[in-house]
Parts: sequence; structure tokens; C-alpha cells
Amino acid sequence: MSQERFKAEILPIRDKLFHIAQKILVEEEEAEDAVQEVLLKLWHTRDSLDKYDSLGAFATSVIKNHCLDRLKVKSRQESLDETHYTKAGTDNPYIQLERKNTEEIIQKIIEGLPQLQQAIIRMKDMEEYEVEEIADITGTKVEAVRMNLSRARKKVREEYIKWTTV
Amino acid sequence: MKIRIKNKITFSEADKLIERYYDGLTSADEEKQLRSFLSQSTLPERYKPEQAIFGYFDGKKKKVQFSLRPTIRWASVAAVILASVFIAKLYLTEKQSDYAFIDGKKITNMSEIKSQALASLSDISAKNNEVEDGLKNVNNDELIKKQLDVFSGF
Repeated sequence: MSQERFKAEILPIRDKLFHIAQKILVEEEEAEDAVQEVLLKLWHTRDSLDKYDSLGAFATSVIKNHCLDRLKVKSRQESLDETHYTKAGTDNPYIQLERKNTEEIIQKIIEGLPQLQQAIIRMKDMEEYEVEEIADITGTKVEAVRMNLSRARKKVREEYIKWTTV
Repeated sequence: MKIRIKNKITFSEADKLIERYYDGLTSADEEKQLRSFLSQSTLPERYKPEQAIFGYFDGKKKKVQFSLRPTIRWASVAAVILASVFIAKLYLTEKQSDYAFIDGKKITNMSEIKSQALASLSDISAKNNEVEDGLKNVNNDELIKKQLDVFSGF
């Protein structure tokens, strides 16, 4: 699926996706993050989206599942995401430090970032997207993407210093 | 106009870029400058976090780029195989429809082939060896060699 088609088919239902997210998650900011996460997820799988008859229906079910997963993580119920987080949490970085190299430390720090920040830092710093392109895909303002990118980068630095100055 | 490519930036320039980087403001070009600055082996201790972070992303980028290469390579192999099968098929079809061997002689004229075929039909007792002889004359070696030539570029 081309970028044009993606924009033409997905972005018009952005408001609908936001309403669904807000119904489940209540908090406006959290719902907005969830929508952006789902849009970036859909973007990364856009090559396989052509097979769905109704992209709207598919996106709707993706956002529902995504938000329900978020809720599960929040309420500490068993879910894939939660086991992932718990694992990362009990993995004491200070004990493991001596065995870990820089790359592993940074990988862990990035995995601990909020999902949207993870997606944005990956796209910008690894996949070489421009901030403007990410804003385009998620239907958000460039400033909003920049803010999340900035938070993610600062957090990586801060955590890295914490991990390496024990 | 001569474009001068600046290899090294000063510490204060680097510090400014790093600040912009953390604010999410750097362009791809600026990040490239920063990357080449941070790849120097003798830098003050304070650049350690940035060296680690940029080093990590560099490693990831290489993986992303490398993973594309085999795909392109295999796609081109598949394309060449497809093309050669197509050419071979064309070649064979053309040769088969263009001539006939009658009494060991190559005939390319279609009306002559037809009349000879009709004549041979009325003479069913025609020697069976004729068919075999005709097949022997098709130069199989040359045909195979031509097809293999397509792959000689590898």
C-alpha cells in the first residue's frame, strides 16, 4: 500500500479510532498516544493491508485490542505485554551491568520507554524517517512528534548515565 | 561554486548539535555531522553517553540496510531465471514451428512442409528412422549452451 493510499484510507477514520480509544482508556492523552501507536503499527504493516476488504473495520479492531491490552497492563492482569514489562522490571540492571555491554543496556532502556516513544525513536534514529514524515503518518503535529522524540532521547541518556555510574 | 565538506566540527559546535538532538530538532544532515564527530576515538569523557547511543543506532541501521540486500539479490536471480526460461521457451517454439526435417533435409517453406506431410501420410510405410534422423540434427548441445550463457554473468 502506498503512502498516499494509506493517508487517504486511514487518516479519515482517525477521529473514529480516537473515540474508541477514549471510551476504553478514558484519559484523552492516553487515547491519543494509543491512536498514534496503532497508526504507526498499521504503517509498518502497510504492505499486507491490501488484503483486508474493509480497512476501517480492521483498524477499528486493532485499536480496540490495543487499548484493551493497555488496560490489562495497567491493571496488572496477565497479558503478553505485562509479562514483558515484569521481566524487564525484575531484571535488575545494576546486577547485570557487569555482564552487559553498552548495546544491551541501551536496548533495554529503549524497551522500557512508553510504546509511542519507542516507535518514534526507532523510526527517527534507526529507520531514518524525518519528524515531518512521522507526523504525516500519525496525523499529528510535527511539534507533538518532536516532543515525544525529545522525551525519548533525553530519557535514554538519563537512564544510560544512571546505569553506568554505579 | 566549490562545495567544501566539513569533516570535523569543533567541541562547541558539537555541544550545540547535541543540545538540538535532545530537543528533537536536528536534521538528518546535522545528525550525520554529529555521528562523524562522535566516531572519533579520542573524545572527552563527557561525550560517552552520546557515543554509546549513536553507536547503538549505527549498529541497528547497518542491520536494517543489510537485511534488504539479500532480498534484492534473490529477486534479481529469480528475475534472470524467469527471463531465461521465457527466452528458452521462445527459442524452442520458434525453431519448432519454423522448419521441418524431411529425409534429413531442413525445409523452412511452410507450404512445402505441408505438401510433404500430406505425401508422407499417403505413404504410411515411410521409414521410421526418418524421425530419429531428424531429431539428431537438432543441435542439443548448442541449445543447452545458449541457455547456460544467460547465467554466465554470475
